[in-house]
Amino acid sequence: MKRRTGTVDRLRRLAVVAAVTCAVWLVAAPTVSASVQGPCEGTATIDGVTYDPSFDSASKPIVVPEDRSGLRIPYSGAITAQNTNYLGAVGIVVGPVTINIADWGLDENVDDVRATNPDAVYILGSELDSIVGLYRVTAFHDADGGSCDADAMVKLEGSVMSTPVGAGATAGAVLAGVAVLAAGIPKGKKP
Amino acid sequence: MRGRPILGAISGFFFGVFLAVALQQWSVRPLDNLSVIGLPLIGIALGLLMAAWAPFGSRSGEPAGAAPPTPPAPPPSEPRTET
Repeated sequence: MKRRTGTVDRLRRLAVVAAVTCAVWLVAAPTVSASVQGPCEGTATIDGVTYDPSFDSASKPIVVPEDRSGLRIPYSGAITAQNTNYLGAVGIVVGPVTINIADWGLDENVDDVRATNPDAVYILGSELDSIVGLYRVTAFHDADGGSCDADAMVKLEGSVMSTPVGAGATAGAVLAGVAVLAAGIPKGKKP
Repeated sequence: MRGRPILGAISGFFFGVFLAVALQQWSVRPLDNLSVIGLPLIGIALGLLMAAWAPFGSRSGEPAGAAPPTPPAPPPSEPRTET
């Protein structure tokens, strides 16, 4: 009887170790890597670093510095296919949902312009000042000559504990973790 | 279940949700399908396993949910002497 109890205990410990291993694997596993698919290309320069579609993973993200309000980002983009009647959008991936953050409407583009202005610069406003973390951004561009899909990983630097979401999530994870441990206290004993 | 399965499931779910957001905020992993859906499910499983195992508050070799030991029987009373 005692041997059987020991075996059950070992199996329980093994199950807990398996669950923790799954969680560690889930966290450590590389996220889906994509870059650009289709006849498009583009680059952007932030703080002297030129980013291209290869910056698409958590270990190699596009880094936006903490002091980013008013940051000037020179960029270029081009499509090698016919670019008439185009439309596109950019979104942030949150689990199974993609939140649209910008789009460019249907444009006839009768001159078939296929590249951005060589002096194109995007000036970042203050809308990202209080946001930090790692974000997966997707974009698409459809035109008569073809369509492109792109993925990128963007890291917004900053102090995590100074934002409500960062501090709340960190504290919540710690408290909920303590509650998970408290679930291991046998019934009848005060947690 | 010797522990607290309901507490384990609920707290495990929230542990997974908060952990997913915290990992995203600390730039470890973005909020993709695996972390948004997978971590809460793993949290629930972890909470239930913790409740089933119930490793805290029990002495080694003693099942945690075992009934408390019965007190020793009182010594037999001395026979009365009738007068």
